[in-house]
Amino acid sequence: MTENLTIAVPSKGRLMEETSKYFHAHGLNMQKIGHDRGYQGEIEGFEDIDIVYLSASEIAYQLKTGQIHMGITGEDLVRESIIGADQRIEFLKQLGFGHADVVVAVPDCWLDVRMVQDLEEMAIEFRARHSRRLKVATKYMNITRQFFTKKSVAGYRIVESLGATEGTPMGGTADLIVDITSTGETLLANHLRILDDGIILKSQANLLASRAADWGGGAAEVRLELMNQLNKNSSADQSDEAQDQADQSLEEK
Amino acid sequence: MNEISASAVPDLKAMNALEEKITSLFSGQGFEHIDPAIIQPADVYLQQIGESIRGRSYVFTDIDGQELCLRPDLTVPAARVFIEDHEHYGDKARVYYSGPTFRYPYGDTASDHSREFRQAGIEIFGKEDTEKVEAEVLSLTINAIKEVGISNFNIRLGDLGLFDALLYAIDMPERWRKRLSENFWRPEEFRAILKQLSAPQNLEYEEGLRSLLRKLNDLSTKESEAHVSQYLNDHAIPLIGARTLPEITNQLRAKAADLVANPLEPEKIELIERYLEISAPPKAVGARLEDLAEKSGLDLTHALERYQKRIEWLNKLEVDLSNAQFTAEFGRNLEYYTGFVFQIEKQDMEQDGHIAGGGRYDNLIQSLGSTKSLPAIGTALHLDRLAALIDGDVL
Repeated sequence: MTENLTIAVPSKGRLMEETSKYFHAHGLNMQKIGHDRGYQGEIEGFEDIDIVYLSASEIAYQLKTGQIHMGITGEDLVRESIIGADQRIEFLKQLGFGHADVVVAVPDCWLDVRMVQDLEEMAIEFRARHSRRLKVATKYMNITRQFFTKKSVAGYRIVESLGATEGTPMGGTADLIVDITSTGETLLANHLRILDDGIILKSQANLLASRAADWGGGAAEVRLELMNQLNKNSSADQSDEAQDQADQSLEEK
Repeated sequence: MNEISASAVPDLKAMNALEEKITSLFSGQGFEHIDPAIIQPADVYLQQIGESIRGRSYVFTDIDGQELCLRPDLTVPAARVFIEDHEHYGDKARVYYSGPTFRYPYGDTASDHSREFRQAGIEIFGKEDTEKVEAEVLSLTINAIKEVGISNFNIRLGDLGLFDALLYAIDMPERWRKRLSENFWRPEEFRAILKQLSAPQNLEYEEGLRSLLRKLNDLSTKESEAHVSQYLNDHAIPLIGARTLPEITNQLRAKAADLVANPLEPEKIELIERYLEISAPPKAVGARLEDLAEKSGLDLTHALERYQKRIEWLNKLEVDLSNAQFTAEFGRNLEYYTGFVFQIEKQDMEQDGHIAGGGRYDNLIQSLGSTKSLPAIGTALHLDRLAALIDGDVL
């Protein structure tokens, strides 16, 4: 008896549309099974593949636990929800959509803080004067922590923010933020500035494979077949561009 | 992900016996038993130790949205007990505790018992004869370890106060001292800062800001603030957030001063490096320091006296220092230690596998919210590691 290969794709919004388009461009037709609002799907001609529609963050979680073999979701979510992501997840392909930068942004009026290192120097004075650490608002707690550790910044603490993060410095609940931005307009409107070396991650949608999943029963072979198909039909792909971005993103890390 | 074993302790009987021996020693010495809460407000740790605590402990949000954590150590919880029961303790207390602590186990080889592990320890709060109480705490730690039948161990000593004394004896801008001192517990960053200070400061600012900085060096504080304010206006940048104009100006002035400051002289850097290289038997350290002070013309008299006084007390208490090593760089990786620090290591153990450790933390009580600044010192023994050693050694 063979085990089907399970691939999770985002269940709504632009990520879902772009994923569908991406498959289509490689000669793969993804469609839902049964009711239009259901969460199961298939790829025409690939009987051994099950498509499941999940929220983008659930995909990251299920890749970690191995409930699904493969998935498509943003690199930001993978790095945030999976400690040691490079050991536990295979990053197979950058897909060229779903772009968003995770950045450190501070009030523009902090003229003395241009680089991440300035933050640490300033944090000592800040703590002495305000009897507390700098507060960083973010929903990316792990990414923030890892980045600041790498940059040797310790004088801060995180306040979790699940929405309207850019407004927190003006509102007074935080001093600076780590958040995603695509155009930078919201940052500007809230008088925030990205630090000169404050781009933590240039994220985009990735095709990923779980190392925790059971790859026996034919799943590994089906994956090979699928990857051949995705690599073969790269005419519609912006593969060069995607590769450039992949390289660039790696450099950032 | 590691499986979580059903039992917190592999051999409960042995653990209980071990715990009993150690805690009776503490209570016999007049220490009072306390039982700090296992669940602690995360805020306290985030404030004291910083965000890194999230990476190595169990921080969670309860259904009411409050951020809590499973205590990653027992020193902070014990200090909170002392502050909370201030009416009972007054300004002085000697307490002991024993119980589980929790840390996230890193690496493939991490066992369950590095996730949940038992610690027994003592804390002494309030003013005492500084060097005497330091020697006492180390002596008691060693006695507790011997009491459970372990005799092969190394002692590692350090002194953060000594380093601060050295730093303050060397002539340099106060803000550089502060940066070095604040980063002593992070060796890599420390070296990076030292290197940075050894070369002319180079700020990659855009020209507008650069010319603002250049001006600040010739201006008074008040005039500087006016200039910074003008700059913000000219660029339509509103002042938002908790930092005030004087704070921002102050930091800009520090940067401006750095731009024209002479780099830290090679002799001074060498002096710091030579101090940090010291790793010697505790009784030989005094001479090394005297030598260092003499050659560089520094006044370390007071710090040296205190060091020697501690050695005298260790002698009086008959602490065997033949397996002890003083390492200047040894500063523990917890940010709240301020002076004398020590660690007891099994002879063949890797560095982070210490079986006991402790030290002086004079700033903690006040920064935890006490109205008074009271000194404090303590020690904690890793019961699981001790139990594992006894298991391997004695049987």
